Amino acid sequence: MAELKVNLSGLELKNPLIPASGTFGYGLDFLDFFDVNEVGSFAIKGTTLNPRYGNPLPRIAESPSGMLNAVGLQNPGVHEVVEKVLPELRKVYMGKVLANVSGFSVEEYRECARLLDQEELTGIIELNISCPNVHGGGMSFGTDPASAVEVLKAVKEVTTKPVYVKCTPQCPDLPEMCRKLEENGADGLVLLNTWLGTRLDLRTGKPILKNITGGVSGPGIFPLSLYRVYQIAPLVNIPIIGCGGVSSASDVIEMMSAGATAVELGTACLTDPLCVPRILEDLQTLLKDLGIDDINAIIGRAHK
Amino acid sequence: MLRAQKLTIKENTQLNENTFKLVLQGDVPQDLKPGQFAEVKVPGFSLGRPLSLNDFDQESVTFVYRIAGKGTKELTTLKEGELDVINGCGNGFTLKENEHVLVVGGGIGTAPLLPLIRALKENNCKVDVIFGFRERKETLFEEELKALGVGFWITYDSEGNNVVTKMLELGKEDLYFYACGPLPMMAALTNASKASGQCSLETRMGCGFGACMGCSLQLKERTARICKEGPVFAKEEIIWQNLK
Ligand SMILES: Cc1cc2nc3c(=O)[nH]c(=O)nc-3n(C[C@H](O)[C@H](O)[C@H](O)COP(=O)(O)OP(=O)(O)OC[C@H]3O[C@@H](n4cnc5c(N)ncnc54)[C@H](O)[C@@H]3O)c2cc1C
Ligand SMILES: Cc1cc2nc3c(=O)[nH]c(=O)nc-3n(C[C@H](O)[C@H](O)[C@H](O)COP(=O)(O)O)c2cc1C
Ligand code: FES
Repeated sequence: MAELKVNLSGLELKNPLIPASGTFGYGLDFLDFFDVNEVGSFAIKGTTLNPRYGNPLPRIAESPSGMLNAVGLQNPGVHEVVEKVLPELRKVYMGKVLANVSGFSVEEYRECARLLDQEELTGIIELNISCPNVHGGGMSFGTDPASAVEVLKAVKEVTTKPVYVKCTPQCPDLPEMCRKLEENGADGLVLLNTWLGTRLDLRTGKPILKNITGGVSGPGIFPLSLYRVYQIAPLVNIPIIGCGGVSSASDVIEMMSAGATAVELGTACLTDPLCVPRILEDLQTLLKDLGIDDINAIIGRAHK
Repeated sequence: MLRAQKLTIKENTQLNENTFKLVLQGDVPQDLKPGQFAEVKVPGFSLGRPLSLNDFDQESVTFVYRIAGKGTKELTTLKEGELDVINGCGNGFTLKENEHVLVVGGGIGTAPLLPLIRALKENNCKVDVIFGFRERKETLFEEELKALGVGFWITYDSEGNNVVTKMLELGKEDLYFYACGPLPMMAALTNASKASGQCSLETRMGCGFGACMGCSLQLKERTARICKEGPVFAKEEIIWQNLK
């Protein structure tokens, strides 16, 4: 058995597989399928200060190799998450989570992050400045380095746990953004959130999503996200979590070879709720074939 | 209980011009209920297709589906082999006992109502059924209804009749009802009925098991995931505009 343990800013994960925010709920919806303790960690649903319903239905469309979502950050708000949801999770889950924090103002990000930082379950704060499905917040912070840095600094002031920033591919100059985030105290990067897209109804010719646009995710975006990880990894000295279309053990190996220390699995969790145990099993076989006995050996090997 | 499983195609046959019957065999959950559905994976498509249970027993599940687009079209070509399925999705209908009830279905929305009618009969309910279709050649389940020995009426849009006018004509608007069908039909029925009832709703789904919030609906007093807390909701809870 190859060693799968990886380390993210001092947080030890028993393997590099992290179900991505918004595709694993708060972990509880997967209990019927497998022991959620098998995951390396997971990112909770994007949490905001106040409860949000999100966008009107329909919120989901399909693409040939993935999906589009325009959920719009539906969540019960940080108070309910802290008081009701996380205590439930603690009964069944022994690991730590990435607490995914979203907001519409710097102040909201700060307060939400401060509250989640105090939770024992929180291993890492995942700062989501990349949600394409909300207006006047989310992604607008992720496209402009100055705004992103402002949010990051505000959050760093009130938190003690590592802060990872989840970036958007809609950012016009991602290398510049990532350098600025590192300079200003980001402990890690999550590359990337979804890509903005749409689908039209065949009969009416009108957008399927009520929100018109949605975030494209799934296997179709894998080469796009992979390239960004490959491009950014040599430019920064902080850990990267690769995210976008990862759905197999070989994708995990490619992402990590490009420079990621761990990977997030989003759409794969929705289309195959057993993807974590499946990929873990395949990963062992594949690493054996490749003659690798510690997965850390492949991190960033593309650049060596 | 929800289960992600592989099931073997036992039958996939044409019922009428546009409608097929799919029977899958295997280790199905033993606690399935009328009104629940499964996410059926069609190879080559990323998302599952939510299909209601039209029948089930200890080792198989049956779906009746209409060709609605590419995925269901492709499904008709699969005659053997295995399919990935997430089984046991949704809440199912809440069953009445010892009551006189009305079951109303429109088009392919009649599919989940067959196991419901059976279960209601087992619960000693007197069941009246009104099914509506666009035209005669689309009729489904007439033989099954006869065999079940329930009182039933079938309406056809092409003949200027529909389930709501039929209900009123028969004076059955005071009966507790169960409904599944096109949105305008269920909304009209809910308005016309003087009684309470349950409606089975649909929307586009990401996962089918509660993880993505893709199907979350604002009801009058709460929000609920159609795939998990639904698809069946009490008529009083539903705000129909939120589904349009
Ligand atoms: C709870 C539930 C139970 C259902 N039960 C049945 C049933 O028993 N028999 C039956 O024939 N149909 C049923 N449907 C509708 C069925 O799921 C769709 O007709 C089917 O998904 C269409 O797929 P397609 O690939 O042919 O169409 P496409 O339009 O090519 O599909 C594209 C995407 O949109 C989704 N989609 C399209 N139309 C619908 C729709 N009306 N509802 C939900 N998703 C849709 C598809 O799943 C797919 O992800 C049910 C839907 C729900 C939500
Ligand atoms: C239904 C859905 C909801 C999502 N919600 C969030 C969210 O709340 N916060 C967030 O940071 N990312 C969210 N994402 C983005 C995913 O976490 C992930 O970054 C993206 O889907 C790309 O990875 P994938 O291709 O593996 O799905 C969501 C994605 C999907 C499909
Ligand atoms: S379809 Fe994913 S939560 Fe209902």
